[in-house]
Amino acid sequence: MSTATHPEVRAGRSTVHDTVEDFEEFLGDPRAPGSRITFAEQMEYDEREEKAVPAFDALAEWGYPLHYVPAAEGGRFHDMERMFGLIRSLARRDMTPALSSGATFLGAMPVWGWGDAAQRARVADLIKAGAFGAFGLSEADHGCDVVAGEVLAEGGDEAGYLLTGTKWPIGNGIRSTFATIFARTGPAGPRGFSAFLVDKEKLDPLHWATEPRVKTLGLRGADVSGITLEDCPVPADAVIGSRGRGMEEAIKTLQISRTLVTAMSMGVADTGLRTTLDHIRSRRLYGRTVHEIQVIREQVLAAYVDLLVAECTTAATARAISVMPERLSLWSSVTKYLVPGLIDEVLGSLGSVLAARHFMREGVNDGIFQKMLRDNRIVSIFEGTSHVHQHVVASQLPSLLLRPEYDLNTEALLQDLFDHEYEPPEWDLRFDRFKLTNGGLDEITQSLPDVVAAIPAEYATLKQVAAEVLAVQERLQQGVRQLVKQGNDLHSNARGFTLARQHCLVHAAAACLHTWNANAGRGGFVSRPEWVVLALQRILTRLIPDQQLDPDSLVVVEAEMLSSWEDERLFSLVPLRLGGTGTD
Amino acid sequence: MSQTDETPVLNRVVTAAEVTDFLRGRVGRMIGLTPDEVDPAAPLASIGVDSVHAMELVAELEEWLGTHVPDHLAWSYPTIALISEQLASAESLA
Repeated sequence: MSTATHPEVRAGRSTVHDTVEDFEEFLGDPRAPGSRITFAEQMEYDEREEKAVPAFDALAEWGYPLHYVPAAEGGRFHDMERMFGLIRSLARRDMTPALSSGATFLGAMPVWGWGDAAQRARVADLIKAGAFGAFGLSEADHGCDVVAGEVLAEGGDEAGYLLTGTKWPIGNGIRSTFATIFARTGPAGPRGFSAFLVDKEKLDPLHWATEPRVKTLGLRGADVSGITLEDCPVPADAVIGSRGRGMEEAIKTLQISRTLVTAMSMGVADTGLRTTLDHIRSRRLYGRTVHEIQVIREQVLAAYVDLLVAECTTAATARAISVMPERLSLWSSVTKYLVPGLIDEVLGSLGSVLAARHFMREGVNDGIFQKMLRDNRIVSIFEGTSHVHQHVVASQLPSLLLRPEYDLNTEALLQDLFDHEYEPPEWDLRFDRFKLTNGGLDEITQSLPDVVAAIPAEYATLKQVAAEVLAVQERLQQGVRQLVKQGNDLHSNARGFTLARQHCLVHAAAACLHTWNANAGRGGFVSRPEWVVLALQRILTRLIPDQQLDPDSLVVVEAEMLSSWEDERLFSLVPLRLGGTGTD
Repeated sequence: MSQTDETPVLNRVVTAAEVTDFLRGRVGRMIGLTPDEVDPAAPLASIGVDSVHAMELVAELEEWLGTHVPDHLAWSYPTIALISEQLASAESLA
């Protein structure tokens, strides 16, 4: 059966989805023996805590690492949305290679962003040849507080620098050929750091060593380790960008990476839900399938709706990298705070549906569920913990109080951010437009009152649910005003963190409404109000207790969930065919 | 909203009062207060300016002044009044 040429299925997509489908088709169905990356094989490597070499071979064959290299350097990178889709597809098979491979991109990003021609050419050559990279920011004693980093770079004249200290824990500490190391080049403070491109092959072996691999809960085949340097000479031209600007470079790089890692949660959630349905649609209890038990049905549907909420939130942030990178400091933190945690909740809930099966390292889909559950736990921790992102959001909440006028520019921006047919332009990976803060601008939540007011009267249920979200936003703004008036800074205040969480949920609700608006005209599931009603209700569940999911909406949304499962489409508002479904 | 003059001040000496006005406007916007409500004598860290916002502030100052400001400024001179004094005296020496 070919869905690819079916006109109804082709609408509401861009070439991003074509690239992802091509990747899916190459990799095949992970449940099927003989496909390029299977659950069974990934499970074996996880059990042995080893790198899954066949998976990396398959990635190299398809040209996956080439997507880490900008076109100007001979690579295939085009835009971050595409990268996001590829990471999600890989992670729905196994997050471990997605992460190990992704650490290479993260390590390369400062070079693409601020590096000189020679650095760019060198890193491009290494990645094209299959090398791994690492991003050396974390230190054992200063996990989140990167400004307190102690790895030192002494010198700085023509003779170069001497690097001393340990970066730990970092991804690919051992496997990497190159690493971006952030080190102190001046007194403590925002401009006291510089980024260095460290080529391990060129380091004096007497002055550096790797730290042993860490034993971890999930991602057991990954290389989570470290690098120790001791008076290790690096040339003066190893500095990436300007001396003293390392922290700025790190913060801007992380705005992208923390958005991309949520793609891993999205992929994991897809497999979690698919595995659950694979089991409960076939297992029979009391003369019916498990799925026919009403409580189970609603629990599974809630997980699907949460997945759509997460998608609406994160897709717009990935899109903003092309459309409005100036807003990423806030939006990427909102996304990184919200999505991994939401997916942890989804997996927890589905785990209770799978019951004993979720605890087995074998059985349904080769026992992949428990691995997904373990692996996703890292996503809310790396690239800044949930607390770090609550801090970022809390610190920006006061600046958002002044609401700019909702005008045609806002409307056009929202259309670009949420339109499923938007074609992202090619990006050269230079970070000129990135900012450290949003400067009080956030069209996604600041437009909420206007967007809610504009919901047509015929959608009475939606209008009512949206009004409840708006009331939450108003209360939250009052809370922020109150704290400011009392002279409290929100980011060192528990109440401020609570308000930050509420803001993230309001942001997600706004993202769902904007997605509906931007794609309303084209028909299909995305243009139906029912999924938005349930999405907002699921968000409100986390803000106001005792929410009942609208029964009329449940029927419509469940039908879409089941057809996505039966037809092997991604659980997504965008129709996307999964690998192994055949093209004839 | 622009309650302070934020036109770049290229090629002229700025006074401490001008820097103070600029910073009260920027900091106020960051922390949700009007410029008048921002106390120039209060340590920036205690009124809600964290390290990332401080970095942003330094970048904005540079854009406004059209020149490089010392890297450690918001660290070594942690109030608006002290930053203003320091910048004004540095500018007049230049």
